[in-house]
Amino acid sequence: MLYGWVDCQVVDPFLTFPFVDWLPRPNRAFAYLTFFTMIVSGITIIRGSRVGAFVFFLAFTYIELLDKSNYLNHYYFVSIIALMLAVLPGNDASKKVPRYVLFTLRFLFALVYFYAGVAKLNYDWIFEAQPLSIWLPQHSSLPIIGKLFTYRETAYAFSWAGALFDLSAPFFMFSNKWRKYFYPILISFHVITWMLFPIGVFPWVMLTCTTVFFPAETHRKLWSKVGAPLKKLTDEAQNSWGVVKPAIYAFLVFQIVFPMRFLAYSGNLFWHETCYRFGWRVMLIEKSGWARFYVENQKGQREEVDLKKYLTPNQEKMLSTQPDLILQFADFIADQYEEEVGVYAEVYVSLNGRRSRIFIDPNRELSTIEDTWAPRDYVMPF
Amino acid sequence: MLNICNIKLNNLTLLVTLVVTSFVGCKPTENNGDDFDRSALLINWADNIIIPSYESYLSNLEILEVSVAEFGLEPSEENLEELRSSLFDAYKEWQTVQAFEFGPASNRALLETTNTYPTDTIAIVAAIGDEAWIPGTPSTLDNIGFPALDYLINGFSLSESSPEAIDHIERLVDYLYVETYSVLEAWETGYRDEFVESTGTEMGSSVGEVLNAFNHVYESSVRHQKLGLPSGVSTFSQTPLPHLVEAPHAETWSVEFLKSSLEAFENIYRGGDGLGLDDYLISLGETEYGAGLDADIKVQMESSKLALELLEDPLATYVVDQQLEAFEVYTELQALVVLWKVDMMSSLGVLITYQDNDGD
Repeated sequence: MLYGWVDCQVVDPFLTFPFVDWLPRPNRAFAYLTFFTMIVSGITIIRGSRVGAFVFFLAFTYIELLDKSNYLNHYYFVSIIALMLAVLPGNDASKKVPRYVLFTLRFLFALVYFYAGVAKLNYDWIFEAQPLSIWLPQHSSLPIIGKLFTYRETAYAFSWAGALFDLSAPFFMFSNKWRKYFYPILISFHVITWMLFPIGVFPWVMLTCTTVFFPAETHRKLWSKVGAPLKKLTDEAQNSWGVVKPAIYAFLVFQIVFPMRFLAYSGNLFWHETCYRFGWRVMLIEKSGWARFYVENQKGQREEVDLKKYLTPNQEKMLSTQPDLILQFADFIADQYEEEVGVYAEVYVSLNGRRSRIFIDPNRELSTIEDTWAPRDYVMPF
Repeated sequence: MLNICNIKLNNLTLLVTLVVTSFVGCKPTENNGDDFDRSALLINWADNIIIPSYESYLSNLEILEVSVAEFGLEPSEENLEELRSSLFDAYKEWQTVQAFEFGPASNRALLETTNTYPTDTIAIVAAIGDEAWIPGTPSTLDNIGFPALDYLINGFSLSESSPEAIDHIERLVDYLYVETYSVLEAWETGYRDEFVESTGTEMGSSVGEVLNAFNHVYESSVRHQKLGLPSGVSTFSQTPLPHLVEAPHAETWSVEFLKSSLEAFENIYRGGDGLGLDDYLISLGETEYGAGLDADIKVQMESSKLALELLEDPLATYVVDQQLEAFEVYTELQALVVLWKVDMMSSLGVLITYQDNDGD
């Protein structure tokens, strides 16, 4: 399975959509080497190696940054946690772990839930129960409970419960009193999402990782039973690197601020998707689109681009709804021609079950537009 | 900190209770067309459209086999006319089953083995008389099926009627027959029941399969291949490519087949006289994405059909002489792709799987 993924997502595509333009694309051997490194360094993390965690972080983040069309929030999350495991003290020879280390990890997990919850507080999710109204009925053929998914009330219940769960999870999990009652709810939540939606290992990652909220005593008892005693927590860090702690706190502040950068832009975030990624916006939109690209030469003659020639099915799907991929592709297409050409796109997108609309300004030449932090004026207003 | 948490928690508990109780006693209203009887839709498609279309297509292939045999026995001008007319009927009937490229048809890559064009005339001639030649291997895909028959029966000089050429025609027709027969057989021995029982809309459900094939075939095999490519939308200088029309050797069939194709798609959409996608959309209510979308689709289907009336056979000449009109018709055909592939799919909550129909 892994090998299939490497070939079809990393090695085989004609082009990829890297997050940073200069990121070199690996050849097949290097791609496999990277994945092999990931596996080996992943194992060393379990053994407590910080170097291993750092190597894993580099390899994993590299693959993740190769193609925007593969972006998933939980890949980003894995990167962050790997980096923390590499940087945070506690894996060295000393028997003690500074208390803030634990806090940092807990805080990061709490933040994911909280922001995922905040992101759900939008008109479509709360008042239209979208996109769950589209997704849930797809399970109507399940035995016994299937019929439930066909009711609109179910979609509302799931939407509201989901938002409430995400928003409250941090508080319950930080609370010594409520944690033990809430954890079963957390388990059910993740198991249900795992059963209903194609989100891979993410629920299991969260389930395992949130055990970090349990007091050290609980873990210590558990681990000493299997013969692996844990280190003790200390209030004062005895680490020699005085810079680590402030740097970590600065990182946490960054994590609080960064997902909110979309506030700087007007318009509908779900439509133009400016600063949509890296903000814990999960399962929020159902977008479908259809894109065609035209190349125009100096004489004003046009031809339609055969997308299948360049794009994998997944890339074509992602491209048809994501403006920055459209720009990158336009740039790529212009480079395929020896003469000077302009690239135009005709794209229709439907958002959360609405009727489709024209998505990208069909009269804008796209290959010369830079993808910057500037507002995306080439996206039609919603 | 803890105190603040506790206050918050109490509020939350209250909120949870409120939400939970507000759902109790609500009369459930159904959603997403689920008061719509998808099972009846699937039964209608299977029993009144798909299986009968395959049966009718298969019987046309049988007639074609007979005509080939008769022409082989007596290669008269009259029998040649008969042969051409049987080929036309079968080829036209094919247009009504091309959209069913899922399940059994997709397993046999029926679309690819039946109608890959432009055909490689050199490979066809080379295969004549070659005993070791086997149809259906990757290298034969562009020299078998209807495009090859169009060349051999309409374009190739059959007047000298070498027996080898007729034998080869027989092999080609046989192959079409055998493949179609096994697709129909699969439908009749199990797949039909499997098909009507999968009443969900999830990926791999019958509705999902039908709609994905419907959109894929319409977009690439009808809109793009039958009209877009030959009229030159994908060439920079917009040079028309008349040799890319369907059935170029028959000269007068291309527009006819395009019309039959659109009718076939309309028939699937309307479900013939029974339940169709129109009823499904209408069941979503008087909304712009329900009945409103259905109305828009019907208007567009009418306007696309009207546009097709503009086209004249031979299409190969038309795309050269009246290229701009051809582009207009193409735009009309294209408008249906947006309505079907984007709007209808999201209204019905069916995902495009974006899989290539290469039979895997």
